[in-house]
Amino acid sequence: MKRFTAIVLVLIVALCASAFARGGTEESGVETTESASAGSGAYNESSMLDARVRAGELPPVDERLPADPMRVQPYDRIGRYGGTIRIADNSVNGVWVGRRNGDEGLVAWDPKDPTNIIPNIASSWEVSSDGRTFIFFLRKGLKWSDGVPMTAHDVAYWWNDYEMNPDIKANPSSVWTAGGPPTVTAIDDTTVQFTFPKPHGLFLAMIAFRGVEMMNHPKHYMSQFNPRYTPLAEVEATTKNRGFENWKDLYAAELLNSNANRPRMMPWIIVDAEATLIRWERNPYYFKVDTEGNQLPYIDRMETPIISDKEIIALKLQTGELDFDAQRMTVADFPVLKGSPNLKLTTWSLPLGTIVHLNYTTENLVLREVFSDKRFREALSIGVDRSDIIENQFLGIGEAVNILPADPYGIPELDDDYTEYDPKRANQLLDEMGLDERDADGFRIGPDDKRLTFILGIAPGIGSREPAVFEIITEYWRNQLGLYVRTRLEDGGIWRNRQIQNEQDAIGYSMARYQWVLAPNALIPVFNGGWTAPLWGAWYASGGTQGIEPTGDVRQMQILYDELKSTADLEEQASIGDQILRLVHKNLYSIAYVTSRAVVAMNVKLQNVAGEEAIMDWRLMSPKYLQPEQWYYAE
Amino acid sequence: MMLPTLIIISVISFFIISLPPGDFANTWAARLGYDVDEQQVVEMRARLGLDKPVYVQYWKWISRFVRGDFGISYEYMKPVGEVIGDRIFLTVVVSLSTLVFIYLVSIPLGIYSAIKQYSFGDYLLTFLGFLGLAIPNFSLALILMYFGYSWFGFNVGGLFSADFISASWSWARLLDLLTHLWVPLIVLGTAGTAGLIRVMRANLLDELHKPYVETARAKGVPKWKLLFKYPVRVALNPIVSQAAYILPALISGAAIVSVVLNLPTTGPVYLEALRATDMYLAGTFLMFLSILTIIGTLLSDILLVWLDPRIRIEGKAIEGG
Repeated sequence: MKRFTAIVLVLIVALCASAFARGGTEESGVETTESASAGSGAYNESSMLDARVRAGELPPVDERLPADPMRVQPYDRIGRYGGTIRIADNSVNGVWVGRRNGDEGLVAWDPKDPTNIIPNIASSWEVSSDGRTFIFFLRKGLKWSDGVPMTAHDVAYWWNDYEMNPDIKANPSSVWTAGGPPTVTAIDDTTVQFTFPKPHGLFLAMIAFRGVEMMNHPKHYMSQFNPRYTPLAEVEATTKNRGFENWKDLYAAELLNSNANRPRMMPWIIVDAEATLIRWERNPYYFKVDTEGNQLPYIDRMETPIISDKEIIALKLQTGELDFDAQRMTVADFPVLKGSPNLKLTTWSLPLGTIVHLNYTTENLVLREVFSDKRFREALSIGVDRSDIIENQFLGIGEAVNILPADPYGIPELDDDYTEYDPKRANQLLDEMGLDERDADGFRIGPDDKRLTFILGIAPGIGSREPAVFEIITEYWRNQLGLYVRTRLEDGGIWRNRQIQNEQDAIGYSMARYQWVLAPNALIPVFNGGWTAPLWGAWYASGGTQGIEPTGDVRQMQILYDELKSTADLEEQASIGDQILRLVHKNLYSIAYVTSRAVVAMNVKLQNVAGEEAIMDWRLMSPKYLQPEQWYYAE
Repeated sequence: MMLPTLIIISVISFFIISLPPGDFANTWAARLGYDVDEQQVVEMRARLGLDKPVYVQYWKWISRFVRGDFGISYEYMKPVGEVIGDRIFLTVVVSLSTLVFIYLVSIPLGIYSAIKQYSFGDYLLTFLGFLGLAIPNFSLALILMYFGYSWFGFNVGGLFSADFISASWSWARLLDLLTHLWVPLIVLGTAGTAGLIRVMRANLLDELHKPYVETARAKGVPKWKLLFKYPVRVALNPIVSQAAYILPALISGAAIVSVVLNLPTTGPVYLEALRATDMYLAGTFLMFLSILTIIGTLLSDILLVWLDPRIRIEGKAIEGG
């Protein structure tokens, strides 16, 4: 029945696609200006800025760039200036598209191999042999988008006057600490030093992932809202003028990504934020050039309309009213998009595994007992035909996976374990563990002589990209294994709250398979509301004051993770990561099912966008790690 | 009578919004997508005062609401007034034009349907009416948008073309608005129109067969004069008294359609505020909707008195008695 519905749906989609294909469009985002102006100095720039230089509004490009600008190797070829790139954003604050195209940190992921880290705002760095001290050497002559010099003092301000400021934050973010907060000092204008109480093995990767947080506090601008630098009365007057109650709200509002006034380091900066459309323009002081000395970005402008409905995004992509999307379209949209003459399509690897986390610390003691039996988990894994999900939900584009993550910590030889569909063995395992009795409806009876039943909590849009996949999975459990499991779809906030309050029996989620060490909660309960066991996570996060202490392999994994975090030696990190993954594999603590690919739709004229080798991942802030600043429109 | 009603509504609505487990800090953390320190969530809760009991939050909100200060939207980190101010004007434009559209279409068609009962036209209208009631608004929206684009080359969704979004008002912008407005107008108006045609038809049919109509006809009153002077006026009564509910229904019921059509109106913001438990924003919306309902009731009462002399006269008789 399900398959039939799917076929009918595909037919309808295909029909619509052919209908859409007929409607062409005259409009396109391409409105290119003449190519690079021949400046007198070492660097070239867009004619858009050239005009402003001639009008005396801006200093010449050679003065705006740092002494050693970052040289970006274009993906295919040197581009040409001009055009507007229009990308839909779904968040009310218009934040993510800007970030996903513009995050800049001290270091960045290597676009060719994002397991490497390359220089970015910092041109080089030194790590002490004990992994406790990190010194970053910033490029000389960096400037914020308003032309004010960007220095090591800005980074020190972020740490000392924001993260470590008890008036604003009770505690600094734990990702930037190791055995306690670091001391951060600006040694001179271009040298900043972090010294941690203990080695911080993941510091560089964390900067590549979330380093933009350090760049959100231009000291000359943010200090006007900080009573440490500006008289409290003055800050409070501004607070009142802007309609806020206390100055912390004002500071938080200034930090919003949609704030057009705060200077940035990004390739494009906001010039106008309407309720439904945000307009961006090239940052005249952007610190990157291509290999021929043309200041980046190539594309002059960005527009991010706020569109919450996915179907509208699909329509607008086809009609040529949007130029790029890698986030909202799924494989199921592929046939529809394929018909449009305005688009070219590619797919990127999407290292997200559909995953089920059972709650090992649930208050329901019957479930606790059943879940803790590995035979039960194995049955849940092999009792589902993964190829059926891939056929029905992902048009055949996808692969069966188990819990093991991919790069850079994969263990290829264990990749196929637990993935082969074997309902007979699954039922046998369940029978063996004493769940062999069934009720009148054919569902298994639990140890308490009642029907064994639990609920799989799902928050569409938060974590689980494809809620329908979990419907198929639970259908297999019910029909093939006789396990009475239902899904419950709920709002993300409520879902998360239930998880932290330890009220979920089990959850369906997406697991990051890429660089999992940066968000380890999927494998090891280390946060409040750890995905597999909220109380174990709470115990770890609270340092043992709350929750329940895990035993055996789970505790061992937490200890290993501590070790991993505190070694700066990448080889040793990999070897500890390997040990953790083998424990995860041995116990099958979480059950992963399938991955698919990210559909990337773009304007046919858009160039230098990476092909199928690219990765769509949150930790890489894709497509940012692929350097959208070197995308351009062909003539 | 209005004031106590509003106070009760404000209390109930605020408490209902805060009923679901979790609060804005939770939603925020869930959306960030990576493992958020619980510490950050606790801090945000403290900063926004979400850790206080609900009645404290209510008092903080309502005591300022009456002075015209609606508080801060957590999600936008902007005063609520600023968030909805931009959108309220366009919402009123869309809602009022839809209202006019509904009345202009449904009343004449309802009358036609009634006086030509069981004719081909009546059956056709009945059929279309049921279709209009049955098609979900959002799917109608998608279909119309597609035809708007493929036949007329209009932009998909929104109320303005990209060039006009941030332009100031001019004839060109107004014209641009009008070329976009018809889609939401039809989408939002269809169900209402279909419903009102049915109501108008039924009411009028009731009246047409009453003895006073027969008498008037027997006495030779001209057909059209008779129709509009008596039965139509009586049949309009229930429609006018319904007007009270149309205003808020258009604004809140249009939320889903506005999301689908990507309209810069209040609907999507309202929906989002409820989902994210953005308390002050959602509460302010609910209050405005309630105030609209009350104003609508008042207006329809006044209209009824004007329309139907019986209400006036009976009212006086009661006063006199």
